[in-house]
Amino acid sequence: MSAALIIDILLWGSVAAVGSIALRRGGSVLTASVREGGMDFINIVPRIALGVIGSGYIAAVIPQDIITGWLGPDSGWFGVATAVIAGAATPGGPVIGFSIAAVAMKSGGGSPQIIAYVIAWALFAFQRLLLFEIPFMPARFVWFRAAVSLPIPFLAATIAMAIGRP
Amino acid sequence: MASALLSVGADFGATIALVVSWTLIGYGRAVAWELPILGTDFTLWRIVISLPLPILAGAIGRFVYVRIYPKGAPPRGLP
Repeated sequence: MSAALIIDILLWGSVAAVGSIALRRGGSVLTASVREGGMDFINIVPRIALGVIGSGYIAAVIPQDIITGWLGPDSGWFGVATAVIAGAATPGGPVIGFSIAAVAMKSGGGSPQIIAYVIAWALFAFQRLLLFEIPFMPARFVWFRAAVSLPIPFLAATIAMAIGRP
Repeated sequence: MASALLSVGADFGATIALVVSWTLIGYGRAVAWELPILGTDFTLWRIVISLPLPILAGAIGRFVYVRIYPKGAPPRGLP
């Protein structure tokens, strides 16, 4: 059984378990939560579709050698550094970040480079530092946190290269 | 959450580990966005690879912090 299938079963199993808890609290709780979740689902589906289908189109349009040259499996540390800078510079929410990673994946980017991109994006996305972290935490903590996280995407790429996955 | 921890005097390295683990391993974003867009295989391995990293970030943070402020945090404001 593949890992993907196990994850799917786990996720759907937990949905069913939580659903049965809601049902036990009363039918109205279940219908209210199903309605709310359904609305969220309807709102999210177009964005996921945009990410998945859009990244496929972009991957088909971008010349392959640009991606393989900059981020391909043979680009090595140069590719990882490029990915880290690109990840830190990517604005916007998860759809944008993950879709760009999907473009790189579909058009021949190397796994360590894409891992470095996703992790750098999650850690450093500049706009998010300014919008969410600095208002809530002391600015010096945020900059300090970003600075000590600098080696993290490189470490992740190293681990990915060492274990040869994904 | 992290800012609350800091203001009640949580260890600096531990707070960094918390924030980094929340950004890297937090499952909400992975389930909602990463799984459908990048696929299960990539997401799983990405998370497995990320597991040791928050601890490392916390350790580096602490290492640097105790060298910048050997006598503890400055009197006002954090860090």
